[in-house]
Amino acid sequence: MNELSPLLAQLVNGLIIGSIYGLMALGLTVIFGVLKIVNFSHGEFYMLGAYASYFVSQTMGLHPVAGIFVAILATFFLGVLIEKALLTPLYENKVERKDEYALLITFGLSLFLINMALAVFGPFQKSAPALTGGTIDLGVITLSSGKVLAALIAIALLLIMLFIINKTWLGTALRAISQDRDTSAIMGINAKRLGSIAFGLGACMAGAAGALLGPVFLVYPIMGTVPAIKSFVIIVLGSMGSIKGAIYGSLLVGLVESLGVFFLSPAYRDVYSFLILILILLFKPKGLFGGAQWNN
Amino acid sequence: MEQLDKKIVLGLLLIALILPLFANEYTLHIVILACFYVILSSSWNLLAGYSGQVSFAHLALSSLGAYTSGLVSLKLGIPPVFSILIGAIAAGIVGIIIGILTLRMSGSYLALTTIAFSEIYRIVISLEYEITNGQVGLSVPGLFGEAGSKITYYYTAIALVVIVVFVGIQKLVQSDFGLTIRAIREDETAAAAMGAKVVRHKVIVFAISSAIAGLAGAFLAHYTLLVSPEMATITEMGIVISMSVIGGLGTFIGPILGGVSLELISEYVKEFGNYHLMIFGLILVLVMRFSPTGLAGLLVSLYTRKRKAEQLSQIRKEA
Repeated sequence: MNELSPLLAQLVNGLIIGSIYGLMALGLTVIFGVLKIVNFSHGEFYMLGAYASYFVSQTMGLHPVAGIFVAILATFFLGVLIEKALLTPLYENKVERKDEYALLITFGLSLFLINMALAVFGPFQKSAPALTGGTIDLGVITLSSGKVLAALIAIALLLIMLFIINKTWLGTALRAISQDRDTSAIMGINAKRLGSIAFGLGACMAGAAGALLGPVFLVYPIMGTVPAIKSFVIIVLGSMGSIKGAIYGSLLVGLVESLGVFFLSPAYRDVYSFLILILILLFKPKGLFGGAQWNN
Repeated sequence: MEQLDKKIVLGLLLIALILPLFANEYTLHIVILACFYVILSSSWNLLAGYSGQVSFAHLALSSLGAYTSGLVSLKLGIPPVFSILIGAIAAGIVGIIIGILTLRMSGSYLALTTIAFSEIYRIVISLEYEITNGQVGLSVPGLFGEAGSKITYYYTAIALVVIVVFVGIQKLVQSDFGLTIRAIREDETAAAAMGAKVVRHKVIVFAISSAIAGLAGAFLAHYTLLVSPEMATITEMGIVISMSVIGGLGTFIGPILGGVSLELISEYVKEFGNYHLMIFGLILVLVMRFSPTGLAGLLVSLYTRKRKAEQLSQIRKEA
């Protein structure tokens, strides 16, 4: 043990949390890239993912990793359904002001889902079983292996997502729509169906993040608000719609948070990311990766 | 439309005048709360409905007005009548700062920043217990001393505030300034091309709406004699947004209808448990999806249909 080990522990912690925020922020980016809207109910998919995995692992007694898969599937299909039910008017030219419509309808959805969770699951904080027990001793620092596994799964999911976006037919089609919806429709891409799939993919990444962080923090109905706000900060920081920006931005936010906790005060953990947001808006309002498109 | 607005406003004024004659203190308390929400939702509507800028920090700014007014009256001994105004000015100034930071960009930037501001603000005031007394809340002096005994005073005062705010908003919306912000709502680029100073107008409208929010918050603080972080939650913001949207965004009468009806519904539903927010969220989604003009739009279409039917039967009679 030396003097630096608490700092090092905080930094590693920041990277772990950052990788999971990265999952959420990438979900927002996919939705923004394809549908050109910001999903203000992102935190509620996070919450529902956490509850889904909680019920699979706690009530049904299966392994928590199975809970993550169930959470991903459940939030994916919920996302697809919600997109079909609520967001299709955006593309049928039935809405005059699209930003405002998307903003208010997803915000209303968030209000509904939080309070439905309060009514169904109750306001109590539940602790989900950890992914694995024990700790990993690296000599200088000790990490809980549950957290490390969560980060590894998050990174694996991020890589799978990047593979889907960059290498598969689905990803090519999604990128095409993100560049020009009408032209891609002329080229034979079913923009409507892929829009639903994009929303589902974005939602299930938030669900996965919730299932991964549920065991680290606690599971309760308003658990999604703060992570959602952090992913909003991340996408502004990394330029809206930029995949690179979402990933680097989330690592930056994770690191700044842990440094703030170490050097300033742990109580204000959630405030530091907001300070970054103000600085970005002042000096580089288009974000660090301004103008970056999908294929970057 | 105009005629219908006038009828509804006159009807509500009449009810408001007769109410204190036979209503008990509890009913008056509910009406005062409803007035608070009506002020908040119409000032939010000024911003979101007329200028198209959706902010999630309205309740945070309202709470900022409440804390400023409470602290100024507690620490400096300034009478609440003036400290409420100071609270409103403080909220307006913070509104200008947030506006300058975010309104240069169009789209969702304001929404993204204000939702973050609102949550961070709530965390900070909950943590800074040496100044704000944290979660417990700050006890502040009343506008007319104790609240319960002088409820009719408070009732009259908030009614005056409501009237002043409404006349102000209505004048503003009908002025050249109002025309410009509506043009900006419809198409920022086109408005800029016509010579409108887009950013300046958006910032001014944001500041005005924030100052009104601060005024309402400060008034409520000196009525309930307590300021707590509870006022600044996203949930409270959700109530105000539901009221404006369900009532009818961008209409004069909408926030009044939405504010009064939702406050009554929530008082009624609260007896069965905390389901009112779930219901508000659901109605908000359904209204946005199927009838974006809200209650006001519904009323107008009913009214015009009735008028048309009347005119038709008139013509038939004459023929």
